[in-house]
Parts: sequence; structure tokens; C-alpha cells
Amino acid sequence: MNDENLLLMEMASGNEKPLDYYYNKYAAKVYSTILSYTKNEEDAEELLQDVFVTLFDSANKFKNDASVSTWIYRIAVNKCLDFLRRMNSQKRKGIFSSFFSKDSGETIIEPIDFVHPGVKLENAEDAKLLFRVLDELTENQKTVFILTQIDGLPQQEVADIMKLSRKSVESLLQRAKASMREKLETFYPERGKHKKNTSK
Amino acid sequence: MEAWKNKIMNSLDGIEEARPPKDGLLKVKEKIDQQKSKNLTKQPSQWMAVAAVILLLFCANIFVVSDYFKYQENAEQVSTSYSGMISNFNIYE
Repeated sequence: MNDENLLLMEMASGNEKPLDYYYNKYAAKVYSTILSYTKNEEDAEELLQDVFVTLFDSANKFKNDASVSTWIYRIAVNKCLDFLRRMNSQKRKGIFSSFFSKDSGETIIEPIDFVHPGVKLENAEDAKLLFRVLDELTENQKTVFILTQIDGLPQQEVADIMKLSRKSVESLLQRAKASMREKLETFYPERGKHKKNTSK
Repeated sequence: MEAWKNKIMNSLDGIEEARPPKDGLLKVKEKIDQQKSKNLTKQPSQWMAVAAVILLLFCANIFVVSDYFKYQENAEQVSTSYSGMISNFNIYE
């Protein structure tokens, strides 16, 4: 049993101190992942807190079949997917009732101009389009794309997080990329052509 | 078009981690403390509910038992007062 697992056992007995270690080590990574799903900093902050509260609450349920980092990512991904489902159902309800939410009067349609704060400045405009088509993927495809391409996790670790085989992850990633390229062409049919014309 | 799509698909190259809020850990601990205090305040109310149910059962039993004895007394009184009337059933003799 490694140190991280021992710390988790300590936390399971009600000690809050190991939480500092886990937060300092994983918060930035997990926050980055969550932000790719939520595309909103406030929601990402809220979910990040939920992830670590859940980690503390369910430390006694941890089985040593995976590493602690895999487990933390698994909690984060599940929370993000739940959040997106909730948002989608709210959106569906919104279509029938109103284009505005009753409480705040704000539009409940997601903003499409999201730029991940870690993206290089010169890539920001292109990344906006990428995040726009990322929304069109299925849950599994989106998770695989975010974890491998944005967070840079190895495919085997992603497979462990999603409880899939590495081959499945590989094929999901290929399908995700193909689907995103298709969507880019569908959503922005003039963009590529326009660039070609100007280069001449 | 393919070159443009490649450019978009490669736009995440060199992406860095986003920085979480500085007071995040503090807020996590606050939430945990809130949960703990909620659990503590929940416990007495749960015990109160259990105690109320026990009391209710106890009262119901007392009522049933006392009612049973009252019924027994009444039944005895009735049987003695009507014993003369029902000693002989041959009413047409």
C-alpha cells in the first residue's frame, strides 16, 4: 500500500489533514478538467469543492483496486456529467417555458465563446471553435477527448478512470476526433474555404 | 478546409492547467464542517421521533388494556342482570 492510500485511510477515520495534501496535489488538474466540461468558472469552482467534499466523505469506501488519482478523476468526471445532464434538462424545460430562467432572468443557453484559461493566446480563437464542437460529442467521447487531449492523461489511466479497456478508449478518441472534424465542416462551412482564398 | 480543421484540432497544443481559486481548500473545509454540524443537529431530532413513536405505542396499549377491562366489567354486569330473563327460554309455555 503506498503513501497516498495510507493518507486516505487516515482521512477515512475523520482526520482532515490529508485533505490539504490531496487538494494541493490534484486541485489544479481536477479544476482544469472540470472547467473543460462546465465552461464556466463559477460552476467549476463549485464542482471542485464538491469533488473534495465527496473525497473526504467517501474515503472509507475506497477500494485499493485503483490509484487515488484515478479515483479522484472518476469522482470529478461523474460530477461533471451529472452537472451537464442537469443543465441539459433545464435547457429542455426552458424551451417549453421561456428562453429566460425564472429566477435570474438570464439566458440559460450556454455561452459558446468559452476559452480555457490554459490555452495559448495565439490559439484562443481556434480553441473557441474546438470547444463549440466538443459539445456535440457523446458523454464518453467527450470524456476521452478532455482527459487525453486537454489534460494529457495516458490512455491507460483514462481507461481505468472510465472502467473501460484501453482499446475502447482509443476507438472512442478516434471517433471523437472524426466527429469533431465533421461538425467543424457543418457549423463553419465557409471558414476553411475563406482562408484558402485569402492565401492566394 | 483540411488544413483549417487541423489547425483547429491542434489549437490545444501546449495547453496549461487552469489555476483553481486560492480559497478553494478553505471553502471545502467549511462545507465539511457544515455537514458535520448538520449531522449533529439531525441526531436529536431522529431520537425525538423514535421516542414519540414509543410513547404513542405505550399510550395506545394502555388505552386498549383499560378498554378491555372495562368491557369485561360491563359484560359481567349485563350477564348478572339478565340472568333471570334468560334462565328459561321457553317463552310460549
